[in-house]
Amino acid sequence: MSPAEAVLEGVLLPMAAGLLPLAIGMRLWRRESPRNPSGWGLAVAAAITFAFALWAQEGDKLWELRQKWQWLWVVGGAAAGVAVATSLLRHFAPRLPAAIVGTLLALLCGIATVLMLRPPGFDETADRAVVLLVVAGSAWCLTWPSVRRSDDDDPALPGAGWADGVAFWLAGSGLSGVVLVSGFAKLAIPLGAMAALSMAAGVLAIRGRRDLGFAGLATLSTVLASAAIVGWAYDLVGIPGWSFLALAVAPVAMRTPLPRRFRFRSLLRLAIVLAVVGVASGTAVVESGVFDSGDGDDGSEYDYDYGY
Amino acid sequence: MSRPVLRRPMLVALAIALPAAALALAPRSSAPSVSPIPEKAVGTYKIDRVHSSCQFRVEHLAASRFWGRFDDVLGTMTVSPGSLEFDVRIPIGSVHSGDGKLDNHLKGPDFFNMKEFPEMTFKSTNATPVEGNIWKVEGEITLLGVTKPITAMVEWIGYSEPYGKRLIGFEARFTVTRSDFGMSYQVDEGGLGDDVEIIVGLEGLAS
Repeated sequence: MSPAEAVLEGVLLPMAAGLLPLAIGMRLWRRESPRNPSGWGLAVAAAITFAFALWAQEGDKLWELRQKWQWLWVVGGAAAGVAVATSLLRHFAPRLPAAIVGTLLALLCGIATVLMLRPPGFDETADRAVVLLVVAGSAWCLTWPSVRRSDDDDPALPGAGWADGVAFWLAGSGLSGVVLVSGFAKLAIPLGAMAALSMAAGVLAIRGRRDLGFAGLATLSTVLASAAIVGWAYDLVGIPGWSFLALAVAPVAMRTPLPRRFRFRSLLRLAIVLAVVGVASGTAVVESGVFDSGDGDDGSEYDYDYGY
Repeated sequence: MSRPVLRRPMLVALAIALPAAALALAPRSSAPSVSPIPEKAVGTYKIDRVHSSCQFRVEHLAASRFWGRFDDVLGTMTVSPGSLEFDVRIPIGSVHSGDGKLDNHLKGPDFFNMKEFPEMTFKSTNATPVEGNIWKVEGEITLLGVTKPITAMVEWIGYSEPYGKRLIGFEARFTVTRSDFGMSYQVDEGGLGDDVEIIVGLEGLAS
């Protein structure tokens, strides 16, 4: 299989599988953005894309869930389910305070992850508390403005859809690279597919200045954070744990409060995300020793290509 | 007078040749010739990790065959009259390719997933002598948490008693299809072969 075929099968096809629910959820046939979009389409698209990409790597053995990391697609599906249910709750019970809806959404995403994902070395209560904090915390920070916006149409609230899409593309791509140099290609490729879907969502959000919606952001955030924790758990080359965690929460920088007088707030926030991703990825690459040579027993300078 | 002189040697020759031909053409016994393991070798042996190893070979990029090995082979072998038993454990962390980065990749979730499955094991269930020093050993191999039956051709190398110790040696060969165990990395892409040939050299020290 050529590299182009590998990218097509592993990244582009899974991304394409998510485009239909994404387009329907965003109601792209309308010029104007739907009012207070929940982002259920992106939530469903994220779950489909990630599961498809994992299946493209593992085949039907993925459904047997014999290895702990293979539960990632279940976590993505559960997060999407919780997110869609929350969006329905918000629709049919609009008087329910946004604080309760947002917190409930984030907590349920975190709890679903803790219950379903048990990577090696994360068996202690303290470890599982870290997982809950990272997943629920990042989901809450990212979705809060979108949930609140349902109460208040204040356009000054942050969360431009295109910028959120780019932020998740940066974080997803960075994590994909870090996971690859840690020797986990089977997770790196689906993360690349997720990053591609995020960029596609960001591009589509430009039309009508659409918001990605709290359901979509919660699902993307949960999948990203879970994958980062899995990458950390399986790492054998010595990448520091904070690199994985930084990449997991990098998109939260899109919620950095900035004074209204700053004209290009989204770009500034993206610059913060880029800086976090850059430092975390760069540190990971250096610590992994991927560019070190002379690892052969005979002192040869042949460098192992992680592709094979 | 020439006829009687010639007839006698011919009769003698026929008398020798005919029985010899009959012996040569007689059907042989169908039972294989088996070299029995000596009775004094009966017992349980602990596998000597220093003098035992496991090597594997897999097709790489349709161009060559890549060899790797596991430096540690642990377990026991039991020799009984007419039977053999093997209980072998191989720590995944002992995989050795000659390149540190490749070793880490092999230990990771793309291949052996050492953090979840630190060992692969083989337990024999039946052993029958085939011919000479060769035994057919049936058993179960567990890799990546999946257990599958396999059959290995095991050669008994020898038995000796140096310096008051009792040593026995075997060499086993078999092939596994790694995707059967969930190790499918680069199978569909054609980067690495699905069938892996394994050669295990075992030396045991009597307990």
